[in-house]
Amino acid sequence: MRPDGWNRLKTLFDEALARPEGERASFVGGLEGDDASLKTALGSLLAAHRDDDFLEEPAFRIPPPDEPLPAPVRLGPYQIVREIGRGGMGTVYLAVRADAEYEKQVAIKVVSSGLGLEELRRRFRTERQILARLDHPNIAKLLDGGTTPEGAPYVVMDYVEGRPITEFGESRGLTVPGRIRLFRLVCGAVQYAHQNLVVHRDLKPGNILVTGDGVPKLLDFGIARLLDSDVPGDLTQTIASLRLMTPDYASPEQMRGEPVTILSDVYSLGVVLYELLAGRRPYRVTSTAPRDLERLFDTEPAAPSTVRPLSKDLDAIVSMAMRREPERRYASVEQLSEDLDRHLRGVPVRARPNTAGYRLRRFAARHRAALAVAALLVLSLAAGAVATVREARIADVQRQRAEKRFADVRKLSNALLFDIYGAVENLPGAIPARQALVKKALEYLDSLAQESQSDIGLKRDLAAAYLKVGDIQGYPFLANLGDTTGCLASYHTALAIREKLLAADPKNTDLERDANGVRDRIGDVLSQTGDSAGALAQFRNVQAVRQRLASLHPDDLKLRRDLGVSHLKIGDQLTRAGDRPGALANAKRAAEILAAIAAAKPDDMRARRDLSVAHSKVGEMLRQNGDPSAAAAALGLSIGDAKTILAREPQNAVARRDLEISLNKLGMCRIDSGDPPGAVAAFQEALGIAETLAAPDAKDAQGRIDVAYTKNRLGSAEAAAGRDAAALESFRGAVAIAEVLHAEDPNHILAHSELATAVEGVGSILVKRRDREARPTLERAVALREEMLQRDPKDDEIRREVEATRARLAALPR
Amino acid sequence: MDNPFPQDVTSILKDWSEGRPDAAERLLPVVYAELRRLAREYMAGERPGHTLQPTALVHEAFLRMVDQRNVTWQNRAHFFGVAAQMMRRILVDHARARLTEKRGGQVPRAPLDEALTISRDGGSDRLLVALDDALTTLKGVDPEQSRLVELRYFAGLTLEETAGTLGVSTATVKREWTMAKAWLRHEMEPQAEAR
Repeated sequence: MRPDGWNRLKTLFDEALARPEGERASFVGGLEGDDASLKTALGSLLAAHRDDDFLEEPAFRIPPPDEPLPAPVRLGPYQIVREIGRGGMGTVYLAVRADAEYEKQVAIKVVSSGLGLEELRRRFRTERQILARLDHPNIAKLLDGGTTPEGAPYVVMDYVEGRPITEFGESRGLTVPGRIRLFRLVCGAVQYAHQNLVVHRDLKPGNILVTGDGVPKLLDFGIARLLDSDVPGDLTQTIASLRLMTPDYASPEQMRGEPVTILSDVYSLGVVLYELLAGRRPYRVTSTAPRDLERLFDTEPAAPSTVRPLSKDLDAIVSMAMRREPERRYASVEQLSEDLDRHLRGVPVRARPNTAGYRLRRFAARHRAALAVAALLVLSLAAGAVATVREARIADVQRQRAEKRFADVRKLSNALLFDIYGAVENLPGAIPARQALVKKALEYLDSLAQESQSDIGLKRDLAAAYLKVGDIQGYPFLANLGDTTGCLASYHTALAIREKLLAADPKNTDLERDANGVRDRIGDVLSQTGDSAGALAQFRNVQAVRQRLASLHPDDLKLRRDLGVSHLKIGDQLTRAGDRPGALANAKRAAEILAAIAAAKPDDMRARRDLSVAHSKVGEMLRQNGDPSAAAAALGLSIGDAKTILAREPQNAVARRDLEISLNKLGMCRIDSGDPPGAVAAFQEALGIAETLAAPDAKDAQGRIDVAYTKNRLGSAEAAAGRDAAALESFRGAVAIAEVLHAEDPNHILAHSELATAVEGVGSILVKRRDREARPTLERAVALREEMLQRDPKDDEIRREVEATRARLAALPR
Repeated sequence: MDNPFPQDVTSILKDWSEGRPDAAERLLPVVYAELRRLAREYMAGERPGHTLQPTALVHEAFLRMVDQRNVTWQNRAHFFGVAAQMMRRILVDHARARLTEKRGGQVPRAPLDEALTISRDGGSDRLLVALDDALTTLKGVDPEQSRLVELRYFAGLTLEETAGTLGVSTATVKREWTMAKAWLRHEMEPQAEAR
């Protein structure tokens, strides 16, 4: 169906659906002026329309696995004996080292978490070295580690046969001093780890086992950190660490997902001490909703002495360890331990119970607003100030004071936009706050604009602020809120202000340049939204102004560069609009201007890259215009500049990639212009670069694809140049690489297609040599391409290639 | 290389919005590999939790592969379009392979694709293959509508998410979607009845 027919069909279908079902047939029947086939199509569409679940459920869902993975029998040198535990962090097995002379029992924890395996393994490598250094009689030693056949990391630790410290205390009926002495051993181990910069993060009775001899052993040091996705530098979004924690022992900051420090371990130890002394936990976390947690941590748990007969000193020590604010806890585990020692020796302890004043402060803190809200509070003060300014201005007497406050408001608006915004910009989840800030800032700017009738300095500030607001709202080349409409409105306001300023001072080129900068941004935004014509109009204006300014200031290189960029932007828009000659003319003009700059600043590599990019664009346009020799000349310039940059900055990967791309383009130009030997040279050089770029990471599929691709191009060029032996070698090299890639991933489309091309290439050379292998080789090429066709039956190019190869096969002597 | 994605994919997306013609071609295999890898991870049971919807997979691939501080909504739209196309290919390829197998052919299979299709709602390979053919025809008439169906059905995007990705209003998406479904049903009628 022709496009206009299709659109008409759409309209009619909508109109028909808007009617009750019974009237639709008569609606179709009553149509006049539409041809019969359209009516038929409309009739079948309406007949096929049903309000059911057809296609409403997505194509697939992956259910959670029903069965846990089968237990491994053996991991590395360790023979699994049995599973001894299972939790949020994975499964723990008892194992023996099978190849040792004596059978050493170990515990193996196979870890799993919400993190990706790769991330987990990466962290594991770095952390393991740190953990392996921990050597303390009360810490279960980390012995080894590895990955299971499924790829999950595991750690091997000393196997500790013991019971959780709280259970041990109860079952042995330990005295209070006995429990404290046992606990202080635990403190010593934690303190030792802290001195080695390892925070446990998951201290709980289940990780503090006491052996039959009464020796406490800490398990799982640092494991929580391995699994915690909140550790900085992680790309995955926040997954609250408490998923991995036992919430009853976690510190408030951990529950909120805030950074964890040694003071978090102090808190958890406080909870363990509470339970060890009182025989029960201070509280149970039943809900992890933020509001419930805040309430929980605000409620002081019953003092241990109200549960069992204990000294008030111990109440104070437990309470001090469990303070809600980290900075009010013991500053270290050592201090906690020392205070317990003081209690044992009957010396006054350092810990003090919470006072009424403290509780009051905490109540106030609980109602403290978040940063964004605080910022808004500041804003509402500013609003008051603006109103005051307006009233005060009426009275001449107060003018001076008013102007001072006016300046304050200005400063405040700027601070909002430039400082406060910057502070919240990178906070996760701060988008509502950012939007609120922008909205408020706009309100103040608008009211300031009302006040500013004669104040030129203020107007300039205002325009800059509107420009900034626009950037934040939607300037495509910066992080933005995606509000294109708002962005354009702000830019237009900024432009209006600047144009007014300019009208009052028409000779001021700074003002003219500023106004032009806004137009350029408007053009960028329009271009991104697909309004090519609008963008083009802006860019042409910008270019005209820059042209005029540049003739006034011939030595201003920054201005000239901007002029060149303007031409490139115009060229891009013209390409989009299908005006090839216009596009080419602009790209050429840009190259001229940028070349002059690069000549004036021979050491400026940025200018050189500008020029290289411009020439590459010119080359591409010329090639599309069917002028391969001129294209080759432009590409040659682009290549030369890329090489100059690389000679200065050998590590510059961007320039290296620019070079590879331009060389490949050059090779194709030379093929187009009937210069196979020249093409061979270009592709050989491109190949060298592709191989260099792929070399650092042998597993990098993209890099290897590039190599195979370039080898295929090289092979074709060599064959065209009559160098059959070299061509055969190139194609065979491409086969070798593509074969591996294809086997690794049969669905890798590019690998599949490069393999087909390479096999075909080998076959074509074998045909020339009348080699008996020619037939099976070409047959394989056909088979490979037919597989591709199965995937995409509409690809006519592949179909043509298959037919060509078939014809070749038919012509082969039997 | 620990994480080859963020810069790569982000810069490819940028190239794309700057109109470099090879960007899509470079993006396909990377996204494809990551989708497979993620799905495999889910299937291996390394992630606890609930039934996985395609949209979750695609969003997660986006979060993991693209430097979030450095993208515009156009980049995001490109990415989702490519991911939806890839999901379609994964599923349809496998459905075709299984049909071939039923007819007695030998088809190597990837464990991931297996897992995906087994749990697919409706479970009919024939339906999927018919849909794929019909969509290819639709693309010839109305490429935008065919993209919309990919986003809705193969990437599991909601009407609102689809609207955001295509940069049109939800009402438009709804209208186009209704028509596309009717058209596809008509186009697929013989096969759909036969399932």
